[in-house]
Amino acid sequence: MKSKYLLYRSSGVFTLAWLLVGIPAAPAGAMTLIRAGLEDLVTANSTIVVAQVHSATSYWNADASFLLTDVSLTTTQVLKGSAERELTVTLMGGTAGGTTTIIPGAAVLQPDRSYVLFLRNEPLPGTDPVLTVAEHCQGAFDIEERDGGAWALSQAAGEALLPDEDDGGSSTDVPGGALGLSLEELERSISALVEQGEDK
Amino acid sequence: MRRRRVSLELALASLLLVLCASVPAHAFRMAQNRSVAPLTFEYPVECSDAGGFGHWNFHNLVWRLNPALQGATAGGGIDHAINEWNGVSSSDYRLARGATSAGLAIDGINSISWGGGVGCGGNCLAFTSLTYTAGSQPSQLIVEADILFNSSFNWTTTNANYDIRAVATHELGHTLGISHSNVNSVAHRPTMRAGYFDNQRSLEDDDRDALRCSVSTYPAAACTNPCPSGGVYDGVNCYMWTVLGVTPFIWQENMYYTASTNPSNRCPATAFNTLNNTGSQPWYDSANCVVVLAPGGNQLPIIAGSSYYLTPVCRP
Repeated sequence: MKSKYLLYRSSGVFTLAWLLVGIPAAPAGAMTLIRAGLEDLVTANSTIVVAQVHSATSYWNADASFLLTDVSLTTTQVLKGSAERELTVTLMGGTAGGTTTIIPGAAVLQPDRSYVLFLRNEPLPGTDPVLTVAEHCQGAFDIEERDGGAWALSQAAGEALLPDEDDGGSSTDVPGGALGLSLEELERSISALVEQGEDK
Repeated sequence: MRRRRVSLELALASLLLVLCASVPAHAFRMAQNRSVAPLTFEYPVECSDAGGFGHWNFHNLVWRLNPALQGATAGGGIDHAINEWNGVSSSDYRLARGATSAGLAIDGINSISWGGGVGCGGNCLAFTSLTYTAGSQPSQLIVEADILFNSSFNWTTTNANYDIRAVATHELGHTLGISHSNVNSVAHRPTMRAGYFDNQRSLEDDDRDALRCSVSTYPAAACTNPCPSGGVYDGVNCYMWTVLGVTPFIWQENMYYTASTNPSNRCPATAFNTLNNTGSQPWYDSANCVVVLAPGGNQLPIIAGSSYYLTPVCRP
């Protein structure tokens, strides 16, 4: 039985290219990130959704000083905040004309794939605040079908993160660790943390 | 029974030790551009990977530092990082530091700047933006790199959180096409091993080997004529003419250029061509000399009387 997260299918060259090439399991990161626990992610982000990517478009920003990519998603679940069913998330980098700009360590959102995304409005180069994955790879969890169920794996799982010593922590593990956690468990944990936050 | 179990555990432990010892001491990885337009990402590969990895055509690179927002306790950190990579033997990469008032932008300038919240807020300490030429296959040719530090953090040079020397050395390594290392020896933990900055102000052998791998895989392109259009190359130096066309000077790295105050000709007719390498000419708009620095239209007015930092461009 197909997961509800794999229901959407789009066609075209773009999708074919992704099917042929695909994204490696662990893209290389060049960011220096302090480890964010699930509580940090829930607190720091205004919107948390489960969503599936259906297209992406790169473009130069308004003053033609940087490449950005708008990723269009269909929201299947809202875990925090409010979100339209059709959502646009803006990421730094992309390809346009003769130029490709990569932000290694940023979230990678692949068409026809589903993710749990931690989102908030932040300015990107040359923009007013836009909805983005501000925590980069730490703010995106891949949803995978495994062992008969849906699992969520942090895109930061392959990253070496700095412990948040200022917060008294020494852990560098991402939520769910290298194998991830069941999507149901992640959703339940997020909802509990959202409720805790509302009670405070 | 118990003794047999202990023996089994000892055997397994020994096997584990042997396996650990067989992990190569040099486990650096290079960063390969595997973008599929419009989405972009890199992947760590070995030096010998057939798909290649990110590299520069020329090995004399200038980094323009914008110190605004860096704070009072981070001074000298960037120079330290530059010197570390310049000190690698058998490498002809020579990094230099210049100045700029620009920040994170795709403008032909390799910038190092500080910012708060624009692309690197929250738990992001720093990131590197790498710009490649585009092609039918993902290009491995880097043409620009920018580093942005999060100005919200208290940067230090005291080996305490967060030491700018360590993070800058690490990020500069990424701009040279180096990915994260797998080596995790406490005594010789590479700078390119992410997640720790206890011993990373200095490069380790694994870091040096990564740069040497890049140099041997992608030697600097032959610079047969370093002159921008209009210059005269005599086999040793490139001679350019001043804006007024009177005095020739030798075109060299790190040269400051002062635009003419002659109102009829404020444009350096040839010199700035090379900044974007697109062949477009600067033009005079009756007020400023304007040059396009980046594909896509980013414009920089060349204001008479101001100084600009130029970089020679080799033309293999």
